[in-house]
Amino acid sequence: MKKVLKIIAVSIASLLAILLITIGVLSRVIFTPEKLTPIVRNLMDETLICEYELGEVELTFFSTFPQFGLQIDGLTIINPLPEAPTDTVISSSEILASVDLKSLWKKNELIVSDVHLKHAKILAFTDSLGNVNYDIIKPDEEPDTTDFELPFDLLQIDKIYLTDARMIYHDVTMDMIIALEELNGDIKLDWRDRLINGKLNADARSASFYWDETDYLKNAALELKTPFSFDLEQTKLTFHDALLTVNDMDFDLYTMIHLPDDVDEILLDVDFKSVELQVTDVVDLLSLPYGEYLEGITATGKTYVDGTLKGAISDLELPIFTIHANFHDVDFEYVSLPHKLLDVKGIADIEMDMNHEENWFVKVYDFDAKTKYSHLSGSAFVDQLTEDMRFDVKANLNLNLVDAKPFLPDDMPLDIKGMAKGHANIKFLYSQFDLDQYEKMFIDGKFKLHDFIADYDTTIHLQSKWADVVFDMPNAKSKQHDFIILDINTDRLDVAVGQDINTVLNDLDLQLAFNNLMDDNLPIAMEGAFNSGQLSASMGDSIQALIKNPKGDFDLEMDTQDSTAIPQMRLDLAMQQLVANVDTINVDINKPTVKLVYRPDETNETHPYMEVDYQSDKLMAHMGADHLTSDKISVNASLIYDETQENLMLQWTPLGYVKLKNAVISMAQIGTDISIPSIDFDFTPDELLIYDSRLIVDKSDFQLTGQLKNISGYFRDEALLTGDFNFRSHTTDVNKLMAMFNGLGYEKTELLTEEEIIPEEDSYSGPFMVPKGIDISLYTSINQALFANDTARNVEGTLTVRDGTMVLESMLFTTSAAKMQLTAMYKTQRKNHLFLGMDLHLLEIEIAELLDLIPDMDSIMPMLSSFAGKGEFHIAIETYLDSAYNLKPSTLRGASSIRGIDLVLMDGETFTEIAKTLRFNKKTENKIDSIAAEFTVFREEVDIYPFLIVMDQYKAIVEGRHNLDMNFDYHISLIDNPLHLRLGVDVKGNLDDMKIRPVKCKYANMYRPARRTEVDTRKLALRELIRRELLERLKEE
Amino acid sequence: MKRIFKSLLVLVTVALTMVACMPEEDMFDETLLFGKWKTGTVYYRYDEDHTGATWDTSDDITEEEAQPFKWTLVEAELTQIHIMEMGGKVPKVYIVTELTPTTLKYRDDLTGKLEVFTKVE
Repeated sequence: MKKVLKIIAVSIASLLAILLITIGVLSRVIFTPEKLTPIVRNLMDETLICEYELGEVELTFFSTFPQFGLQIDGLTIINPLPEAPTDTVISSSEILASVDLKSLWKKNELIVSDVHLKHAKILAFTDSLGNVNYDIIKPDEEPDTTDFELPFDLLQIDKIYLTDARMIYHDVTMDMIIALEELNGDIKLDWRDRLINGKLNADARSASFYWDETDYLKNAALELKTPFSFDLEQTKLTFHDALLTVNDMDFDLYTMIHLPDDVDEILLDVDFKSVELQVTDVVDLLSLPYGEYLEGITATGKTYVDGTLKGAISDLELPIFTIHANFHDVDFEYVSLPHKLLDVKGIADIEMDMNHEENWFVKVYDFDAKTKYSHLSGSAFVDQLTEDMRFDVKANLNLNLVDAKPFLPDDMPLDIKGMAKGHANIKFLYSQFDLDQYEKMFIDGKFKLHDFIADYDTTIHLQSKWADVVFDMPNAKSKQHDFIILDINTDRLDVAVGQDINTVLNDLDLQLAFNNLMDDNLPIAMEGAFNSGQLSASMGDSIQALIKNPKGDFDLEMDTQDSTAIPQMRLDLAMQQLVANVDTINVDINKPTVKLVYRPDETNETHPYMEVDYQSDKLMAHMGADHLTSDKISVNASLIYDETQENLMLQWTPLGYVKLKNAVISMAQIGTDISIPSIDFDFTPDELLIYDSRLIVDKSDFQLTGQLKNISGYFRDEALLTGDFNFRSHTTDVNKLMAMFNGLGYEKTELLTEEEIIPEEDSYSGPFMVPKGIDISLYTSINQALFANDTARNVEGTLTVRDGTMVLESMLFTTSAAKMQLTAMYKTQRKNHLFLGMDLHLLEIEIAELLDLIPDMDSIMPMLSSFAGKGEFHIAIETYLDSAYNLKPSTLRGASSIRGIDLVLMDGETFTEIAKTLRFNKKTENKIDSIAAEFTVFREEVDIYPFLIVMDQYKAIVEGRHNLDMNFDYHISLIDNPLHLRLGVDVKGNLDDMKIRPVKCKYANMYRPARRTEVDTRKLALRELIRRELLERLKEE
Repeated sequence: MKRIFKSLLVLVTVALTMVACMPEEDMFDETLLFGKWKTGTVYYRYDEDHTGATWDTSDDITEEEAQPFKWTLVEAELTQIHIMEMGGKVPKVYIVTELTPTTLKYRDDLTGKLEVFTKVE
């Protein structure tokens, strides 16, 4: 056995020796580098069109064992392009190639089966003009009509090895760089006619992929193990069941690359599918190209990632890349999100059509996530991935509102609680989200709130057991309030403001729309509509209100940047019934409607404009013992406010109307009802036009129509307030009329002395002050006027109020005593200096009734009480009064004329004494044929001018003076009697101490013109002056 | 004869004396009346255009609020025609007994009551 072994060993050794000798002979004698190098160089020259540097080529056996091979000590192929980073296409320090020694020996042909490149550096470069550096093969001189073939058919390569290679593909036109560093691999080829099957194993410790200004991979570990086939006839390369590993993430890979003959394009069909991956690894991988989108994102969990790359690559077409990710158990955090999403799961589909970047999209569905208190599910669609990503999210939420609080502005003192369950659809661009442009997003949703509580600061409290909330962003119904429209529906909403105001709204349907309140550059703009079954409100214990079916709408616009800008507000409010209690005031109004407008004036935006429109049906109001009822009330008023005006009345420019039907006012102070059958008037800044104004107060009934003008001019002190009114009445209580206008137009300080001013006191007590600066005429027609203690009938005349003076001009009326003409004047220069004047002409008045009508006449002319019968009485008298209406004696002036016929001189002690002194016959009849007297009043002096009394056979002239204190000094001249004696008598003293003394007859010839003295003449002239002045002002009757 | 002459002389002297002592109507310079006069709290103002005004400060009346009158002074007869705002006129006649730059005295024509005024300015 040992021998056999020895023989075998010797034989093998011999063979090896022969082999070695043969190899040695072949390599040292036959295939020397001097012979092989030219062969290779010739081949290179025939094949390449570019420069190259070829090292020494020698035959090797052991390096390519068991075949002979060529060892090339360095090869560099140079094809410079100006834009290329280097002029070298391929360089390798050492290349080993297995060759067919027979062909090489006999035919001097180089047929290669295996190639091993060591430390190869390969650059495939395409410049910006489309020139490539790897176009280094000489073209065939004959047109190529055959199928695709390898560039040199003498290369029958079975295996290719790369050791520590570096491969770079750089395409400037596509802005693409693929770099593989420390690349090791082997490719095994199985040539079968036009089909090459093989197997590729390769790994690169550092793989980078840059495309279109984006790094998709950088220094990633890459490994590929795959069988492949290459159909030369179809030019189709296929990876079957490949295993691709990127940074330890494994993918099953199928790839087909097809270069059809008939078209200039590459067809790709890539399909990959991952094992279960860690989301963190995927995020890390994606953070390179999509880092800006993933910044701030932290995610852990697991996912499967599948994908495809299918389609053609040509000048006109690129493939479509799709990714399908199925993730679960993901915990997701984003710095901008206040809540961590837990147990996130879902499916994401990504499609990137390289031909149409605008069609790229991500679709997420079956999404489900939780926060600590809330639950979220839904789907999302994202497109425009390469531009401004567009999101379309459909979310179902079961939101604990506590989770919503962090989304509110930090400085908003709003605390919300409760649950919101519902769905929302959200469409927005990433830029809109990034820039907080919520006004550009499309968001709509419908939620049901449970146990909702909102507290704003400590001032407003909202609470509802449940409420339906529907919202839509933007609001397509209103351009001005385009940010959001809300529709809130609840069976009960409690609203509390502060500690005192509490409101309950039942069956509330509230719509709200407003613009973007978060944009400080925009004014606050809001509009809304509401409809409630009932509203009850209270403020402390003092105010309660119940409103049935309040409904209406409103809008508001307010510039928060400009504090001087006038906000715009409008409110239209209607209700079935309003019942309110304010302290002692109770109000019950049926169907009231209120329209309020507040905005800048159109002609001057610095002035606010206000408009109020109020309509109501039946109204009942009670305030203590006072009551007010009315059938219909219509009030419309627009106001423009000018704060630059000092006068309060000028600050407001009003325009509008007031209509009222069948109102009754019952006031305890008045003690009687005031009925208002109708009030209808319009008002403008300058005019008040009363169409109808009817009042019934106690016995009085009034109808006032007319017009008031120059209102604004009056308050500007530029014009008199003028007015023309018609006052008609069946019965008028003049005293109450005056009381209605008492104090109008006076500042309180004008009416009171300093000692009397009590700042807190609102009520005014003092004399009636006639309004100043006005010129108002009241044409009066009164069937009967209750004046003082008498009744004036058929009163017709004009009451004029002009600048502090009230004149009753030529008023004709009939009282029980007489037919009268009265002109009176009341002038109020100041509170303690009031003028009162009267010109009274009485026809056919009983002297006794005259004294009843004007009791003071007995003081002015006491002798009147001694006469009985009818007479004509004319008196003009005037005086000034103090604030208590006390007479100022020094100012008393008066002139009077009395005419009487067939009077009776009342017999009395005084007459008896005088008659005795004047020697009257005891049978003298005391009937006076006529009397014509004038007297004047000056201060306290009443002067009786000499007048003639004819009684029976006696004629006497009476003159004298008495004072208002009833001291008198009279003289009676008896100028005719049966004895033709001329006697005189002086009557002096007072009624308690009267002295009657015979004296010389003073006016013996007064009524004898020829003998009349100068004094007589002068006194008669004064009488005539007095009477003429009185008659001049008498109105023609 | 001498006794008769003496008696005649006495009668003539008495007659002349009596003539001299007859109450003769006084003449007063009305310009002395111009200006303001006062008696107690009552004021009168006589203006050169024969208008005037009167007021009583005890009734809280100022000169601006005084009531107007027209006046004439004929010899010693001072006539005031007080003008009412209502249109009437109230005559008052006085007989001046003294008028100096500082003193005005007159008697009421009807009652003879004396009024004494002093010039205010």
